[in-house]
Amino acid sequence: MRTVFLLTWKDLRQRLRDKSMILMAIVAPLAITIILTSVAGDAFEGRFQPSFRVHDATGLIGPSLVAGLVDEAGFEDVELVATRQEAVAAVEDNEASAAILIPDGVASAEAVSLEVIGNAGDGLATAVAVSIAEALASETNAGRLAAAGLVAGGVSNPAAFEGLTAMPPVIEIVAGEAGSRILDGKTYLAVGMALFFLFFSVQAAVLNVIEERQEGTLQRLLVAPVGRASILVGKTLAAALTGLVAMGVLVVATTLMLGASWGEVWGVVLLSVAAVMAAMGLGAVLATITRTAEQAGQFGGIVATVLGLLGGVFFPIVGDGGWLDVLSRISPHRWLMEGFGANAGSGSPADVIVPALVVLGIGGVLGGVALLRRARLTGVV
Amino acid sequence: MSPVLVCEGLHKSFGERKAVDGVGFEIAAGETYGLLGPNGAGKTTTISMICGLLHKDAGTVIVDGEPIEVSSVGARRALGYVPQDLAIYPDLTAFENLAFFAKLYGMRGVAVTAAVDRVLELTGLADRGKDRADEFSGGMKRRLNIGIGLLHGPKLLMLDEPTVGVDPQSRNAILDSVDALGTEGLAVLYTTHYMEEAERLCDRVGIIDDGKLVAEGTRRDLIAGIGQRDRVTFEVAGHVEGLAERLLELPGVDGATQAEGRLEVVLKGAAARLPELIAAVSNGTVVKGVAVHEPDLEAVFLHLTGKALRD
Repeated sequence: MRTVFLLTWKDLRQRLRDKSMILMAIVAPLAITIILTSVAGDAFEGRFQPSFRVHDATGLIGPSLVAGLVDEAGFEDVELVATRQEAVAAVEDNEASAAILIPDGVASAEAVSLEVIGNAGDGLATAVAVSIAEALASETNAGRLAAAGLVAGGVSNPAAFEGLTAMPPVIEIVAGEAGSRILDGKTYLAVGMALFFLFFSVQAAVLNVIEERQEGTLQRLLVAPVGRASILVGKTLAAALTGLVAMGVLVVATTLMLGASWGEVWGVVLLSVAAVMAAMGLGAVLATITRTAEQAGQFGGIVATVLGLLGGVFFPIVGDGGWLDVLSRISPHRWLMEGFGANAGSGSPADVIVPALVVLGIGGVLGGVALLRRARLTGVV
Repeated sequence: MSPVLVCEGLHKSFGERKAVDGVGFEIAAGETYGLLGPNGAGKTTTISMICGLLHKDAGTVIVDGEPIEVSSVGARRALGYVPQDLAIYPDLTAFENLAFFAKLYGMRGVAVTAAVDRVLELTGLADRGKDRADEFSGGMKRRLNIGIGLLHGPKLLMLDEPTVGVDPQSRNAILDSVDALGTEGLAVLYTTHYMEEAERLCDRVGIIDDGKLVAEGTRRDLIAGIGQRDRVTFEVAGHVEGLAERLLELPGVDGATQAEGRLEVVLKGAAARLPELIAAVSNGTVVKGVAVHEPDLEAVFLHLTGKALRD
C-alpha cells in the first residue's frame, strides 16, 4: 500500500502544479455556470413551450387557472381535463409536460395537498408547474387567512389572531413521483457544467499514463521493484481523487455562490463517485486505443463533448421515447442528470441509486475493456 | 566470481519481424559492456527484455543470481535503468524526482535524503536540487536521468544510448561519469551506435546487427579478429550510384558502403593500395577528400556486416 500512496501522492502533486488542470476542473465549470446562470432564464424562455393538464376537483379554480396560463403567461397548450386519471395519463403518455391536480378539499378549512405530476424527462416544465402551483397555493392561503382575519376581526381577544397566524398552511404543494426529478435552473447548470468538465479533468488525469509512457517515466516505474497492480491502483486513485475533489469544490462553490440545490449529501456523493468511475473507465479505454497524449486529449475531448451534449448537460433531453431520448441513454451524463435531479427533488432513494448503478456499470464495463487491453497501455508485450 | 548478468538465447519477434535473434552475453562486476549497433539493430529490445519490460519469446536473463521476468518484482531491485529518452518528471524538482524513486525502491527516512544528496553530488546538481527539472539545460536533465538509475545502488546499471541528442560538452560529462562507474564495482551495460563511445568506455563490446550478436570481445580482440584491416573514407560527389558495389569487386576489399556523399572501404594495407582505390573511385566521381583510419570498431562492424554503423 505504501507504494500505491507514494504514486498517488506524486500524481496529485503534479496535478496541483498543473494550472491547466485546476482551470479545467474547477475554474472553467464555475465560471461558465455563473455566466450561464445570469443569462439562462432568457435563453430558456425563447424556446420553452411546455404543455400542461389541469384537473380541478372543486370546479372553482381550474377554469381561471387555465385562462391565466394561456392568456397571461402565454402558454399555448394548457387544457382542463375532467378527471385526475386523464391528467396523469397525459403526462405518462408524454402528451403533457406536467399535470397540476387541485384536490376537492381546497375550498374547505382542512389542510390539503396540491399535486404536480411531472414528466421525468422534462424537468424544466415540471419546475414551472411547481412554481405555478406554489403561486396558486400562496394566493389561496392568503385569501383564506384574509377571510379568517375578517371573521376574527369581530373578536376583541388578540389571542384569537395569534391562533390564526399560528395555523399550518392550508394548501401544501406535493410533487408526485414523476415530478420529483426536478433541477431548478441554477442547479441544472451547476450539475451540467460540473459533470461536463469532470469528464475532461478525470480523463486528463487517467490519460497522464500516456504522457508517462511517452516520456519514459512509465518504463522507469515498470523496471522498479513494484507490482504492476500497485502502479495501476496508485494512478487510478490519483485520478479518482482529482475528480472527487473537483466535484466537491464545485458542489460547495455553486451552493454558496449561486444558491444551487444539490439535494441529499449521500446522493451527491454516490452520484459523484459513479461519475468519476465512468470518466475513469472512459479515459482508460481511450488510453489503450490512442498512441500519443495529444491524440488522446483530442479524441477524449470529442467523446466527452458528444456524451455531454447527448446527456443533456447544456439543455434538457425530452423523455418522449424519441430517438434522441433513446440514444441519450448511452451517455452516463444522461443518467447522472436524472440521478441528480431526483436527488435535488423529492425522488426516492431508488431514483438516485438506480442511475448511479447504471453509471457505475458503464464505468465497470469500460474499465474492464481497458484492463483487457492493458498491454497497449504499458507497452509490455 | 559469478557474473552479475547472464543472458542466454534471447529471442523476440514483433509479428513477422525478428527483433532479437539468439542474443546472449555475460557481464562481470566492475565490467562495462557495450552493445554496439546501428539504429534498429535490436539493442533497446535486448535491454528491455533484460529489464523485464518486454516478454521474451525465448531465452533466460539472470541478474545477481535471480531470473528476471516481466512478473519479477524483488529481483528488479538489483537493476538500474537509464532509458534512451529523458525519463524524469519535469514538474518536480531534482530532489523530488530523486526522492520519489528512492522511496519507490524501498528507502525510507534519512536513507532517502542521504541517497539523494549523494546522487546530486555525483551528477553535479548539488546546487540545483530545489529547482524544477523543466528549468534545467538538456545536459543537466541527462545527468539527472542517469542519477535516478544510480540512486538505489544497483548491481547492474543499464544505459540505453544516454548521449543521443546531447551537446558535445554534456556528452563528455556523461561519458566521464559512466567511465567512473566501472571502477566502483558496478556492472554496466551500455548501448550505443557511436563507435567512439564504445571504444572509450567499454571493457568488452558486443556487436549487434539485425537482432544477432555477430561478434563479442575486447576492442583489441575484435580488431585482431578482422586482421590488420584499415578503413578508408572518401568524401565524394557526382555519380556515386553502384560505387560501393564496384569497389567490392576489387581484390582484397572486404567491405564497402556509401551514404550521403561518404564512401567507406575496408581492406588490408590501405596505404599501399590508395592510388588504385582513388583511381577506381574517381571514375565518374569527384573525390573531395580521403582519409585512412587505423583499424577500429567501425572497421570491424563494416567488415562483419557490410554496413556502416550509422546506416
